[in-house]
Order: sequence, then C-alpha cells, then structure tokens
Amino acid sequence: MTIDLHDLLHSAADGVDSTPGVAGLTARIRRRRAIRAGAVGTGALAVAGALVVAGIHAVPSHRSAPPAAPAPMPTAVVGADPGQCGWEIGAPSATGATVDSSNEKYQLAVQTAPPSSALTGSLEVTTAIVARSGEFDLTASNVTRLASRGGVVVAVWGDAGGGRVRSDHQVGGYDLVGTEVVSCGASAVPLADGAYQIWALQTVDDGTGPVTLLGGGETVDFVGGKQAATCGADVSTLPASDPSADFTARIDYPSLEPEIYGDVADDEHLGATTSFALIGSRTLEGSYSARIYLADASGKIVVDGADPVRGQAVDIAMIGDATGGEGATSPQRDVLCSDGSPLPPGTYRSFVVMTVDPFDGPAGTTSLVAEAGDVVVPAS
Amino acid sequence: MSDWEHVLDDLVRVRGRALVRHAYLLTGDVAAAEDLVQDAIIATFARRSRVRSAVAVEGYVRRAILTTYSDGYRRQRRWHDVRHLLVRSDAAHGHESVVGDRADVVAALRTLAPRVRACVVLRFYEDLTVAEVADQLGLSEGAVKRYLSDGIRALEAVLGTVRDERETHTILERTTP
Repeated sequence: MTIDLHDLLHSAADGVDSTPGVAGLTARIRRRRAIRAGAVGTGALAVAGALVVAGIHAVPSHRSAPPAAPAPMPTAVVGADPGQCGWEIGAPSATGATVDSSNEKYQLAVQTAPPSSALTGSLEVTTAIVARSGEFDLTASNVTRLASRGGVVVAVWGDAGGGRVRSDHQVGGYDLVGTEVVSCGASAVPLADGAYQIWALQTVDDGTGPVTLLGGGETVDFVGGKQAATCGADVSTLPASDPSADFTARIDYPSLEPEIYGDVADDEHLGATTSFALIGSRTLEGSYSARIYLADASGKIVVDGADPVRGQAVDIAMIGDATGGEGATSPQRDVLCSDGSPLPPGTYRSFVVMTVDPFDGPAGTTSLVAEAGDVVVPAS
Repeated sequence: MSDWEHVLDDLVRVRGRALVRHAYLLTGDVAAAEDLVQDAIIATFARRSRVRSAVAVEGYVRRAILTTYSDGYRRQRRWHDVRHLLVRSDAAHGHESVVGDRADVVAALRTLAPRVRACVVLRFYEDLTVAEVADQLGLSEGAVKRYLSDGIRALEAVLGTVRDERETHTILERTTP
C-alpha cells in the first residue's frame, strides 16, 4: 500500500485555522524599523549569537615597572554586599541584599574566552541573559565581574554593559569586556598564582521588579598575574569530566553539515556532535558553551578556540529538558591558537569541553569533557 | 497607512493561514508555528525598506521561516531524548490504526532535519516544483532533489511506501506552469 504524502500532509495541516494578528505585527515591525534607523538606542549590547572578542588592550604605563608582590588574599567580610570585596559568594548581606543563581525565569550565563597571547593581564568575560522560555525584553544594570577564591570575592572589575537586553530567542544580550583583573583593595596588583572562580552579577527587570542574577563559577587558573594559557599546555590540563554524566563527542572535519551546525562560514571547518546521558536522577538543564581543542602528537594543545588574528569566541547556547540527548558545538576555525595561522598537515587528537551552568541547584558550573577522534590535515 | 502596512495586511489576510499551516508542518506545534510565522514576518518587513506586494514578499517570508526555525534549532541546542524510530501509530494507540495517521506524519516530519523537512513540505504540501522549491529556499535544484530523496526515504521507514517517483513526476508535470 502506498501513501499519498500530499493528501497526508494536507490532512494534518488543513485543520490548523490560525492567522497572525496584524496589529501586533505592525507595532513590532515599526519598532524594529525605528531601531534600524537609529532612532532608538539600545545600549552597548550585541545581537544574540554574534560574538567577536575585542582586540589588544594596552598595558598601563605603571605596569612597565616590575610588578609589586601580590597582595594577601582578603578574608571574608561578614555581611558584605554582593559584589564587594570579601563577599562570600551567594551569601545575603547585612543590608538584606540578595542574589539569585537559580531564578525561575532568567539565568546570567558567564563565559570566559580562552586566553590569547595578545592580551596581557586581561580576562575576557562574556555574559548573556538566558531566558528559560520565550523571548524577553528587560532593562539591566551594568555587569559586575568577580573573581573568588575559597568562596570569597578577591577581585572586582569591569562594571559595564548595562542597558536594554532583549532577544527573540532565549539567549541574548551578549556583553563582551576584556579588562585587567586586579586584586581587591589595591590597584595594579596582580592576582596571586592559583585557581579562581569567575562570576558576574547583573540586576534585571522585566517589569515585574528587579532581581540580581548571579551567574558563572567557571574555574580559571592564574599564573604570573594573568590567565594561564591553554594554548601550548599539555592536554592533561583540560578539566576532568563531571562523573555524573556519560558524555561522548565525535569530531567533524573539514566539512560541516548546515543541517547540524547551522550557518557555517567558509573558514569554519571544525565541529563536533555530542551526546550525553545523565547517571542517576540528576538533571542538567541550563546554559552551556562548548569548545573544541586539538592536541598535536606530543600532546600539546594547538587549537583552543582562541584566534589571535580575529579574536573568536564561541556561542553560549542552552540545554533544555536535559536528562540526556544529542547536540552539536558551534563551528570553529581550524587555526593555531598561537598565531592564528592554518593548521599544518598532520594528525591531531580532538577534545570537546562543554562548560555547563545549570539553571537550578547551587551556583557554579560543571564540565563535560570527551575525546572526539582524530583530525587529519592532509599535506597540500 | 504606509505601503508596507498595506502589503502586510494583504499578506496576513490572504496568505496568513497558509503560512501558519506551513510552519505547523515544520514545528509540529500550532503555537510554535504562530510564533515562527510572526517572527519571520517581522524579520522580513523590518529588514526590507520597500516591499512591493504580498506575492513578492511571501517568498522572503517563507525563507525567513526556515532560517528562523533552523537558527532556533541550532542556537537553542535543544537537547532531547534520542528517538531512533517512531513507534507506528497502531502500536502507540493500542488499536488498529491506519498507517499514515495525521499525528504520525507530523511526528515523522519532526525527525527530519530542518532543511529536509522544508523541502518535503514545499514539494508535497505546497505542490511546488523542484525548481520552485529551490528558488523559495535559495538552494540548488540538485540539493533540493537530494533533500527530497533523503526525506522520503526517512518517512517511508515510518509511514510506509510513499507514492513512487513515476507518480511524483506526473504531479510535477501537472503543476509545472
């Protein structure tokens, strides 16, 4: 028996009796046209999905002298306001100010870009508002970036990026700032060597009242006062994978199927499909960013998502209904992280590191890591 | 009322229902289809400084529907339980059911990649020729044929044999102006 697909599709769809409302469309189109004409300002915000890392930041002149010894780590200040030096991450303040890291409507996603050799002492941090459902349109304060150690804020910087945040998708309002990180209580003093967690605070209001979102928690290593380089490091320095998830990945190179990866630029040749299954009863719904790393035969990382020439970062995307499933990374350029030149011929091991910020549960991120197969670059 | 508002009114009045039905076959959900069509119309009209007529702009809207849908599919990275094969309707409903149940075909469409799904819907629901599908989606005719072949093969695995190529060609000849 053959089926008539034409009849079947009509049978399925012809019962749908719905038309868009013109009045609502007209208003939204007028507003968009006005914005495109520059009549309405929207603040220092980029369009969702378009991330470009800023370029080189000049080293302040006072850094030309030998750096001062790192200041001692500040201790916790009981009752400190959120975002102040000494604030214990997540703790309420003496004034009653609170933060929300598992808001029922919005998440502040925080992503750190891989360090580039072109940047000295800077940490590039991207933030985005992730709505749990639907489009959103809200006003937002500037973003405050924090570094903590032992759960206590030890550095505060980069107060910028506020304004109006909106998106027709569930992720929007990218804010990209690369600024020098300095310790609390002293200027021009680098952070001591060690591991720090990077956070962001931003107060948003969708008309129902302000809420201060706390996002992030990714661990960044600092060495010599700047973000430790992954480029050139041994592949063993990649984070360990969260043991509560069975995570696998498969590299695609050099052709990326648009059906899987969406719009792929001509110079983007690296992508990976991923799959994970949670072990036990845990769920993992939240935002994530995934990055592909390549290591050469000696185990040295030669691709880490950094692009010294164009300063490329990767998208923040969202996991929904995550008890397990499949997905794909954003396309990446296959250039050396050291100087942005094309990958030389050879065989490289590939790895996918997915940093996940769950919507619910304690503040902080987790990593899913998998080796994804070999990338073979043929001799030309 | 400006020119674009007249065109918008025409488009929605004359083609709005058809666009939502088209989007429904892409999304499998009426509310999602309504949102998708609205987003596509807004994106098209906001971007184009001049829109001549509803007929002229409908192609752009359809392309925006697919782009918006595909973009959402990629940007949101919706993770979902892996579904290898659909359960056939008779097993799912626990009673004898005709192959090709309405819910089955919508569910079967959702297993197709967005662009494949769009080609199947334009070809078999809108009765467009391969050339017209290619033009609507900004693809080559070869790519459309490949997507249609992939889509039919995938649908046949779930729904049963689809009307064969010879009959499809007959339809093509009838609908080609």
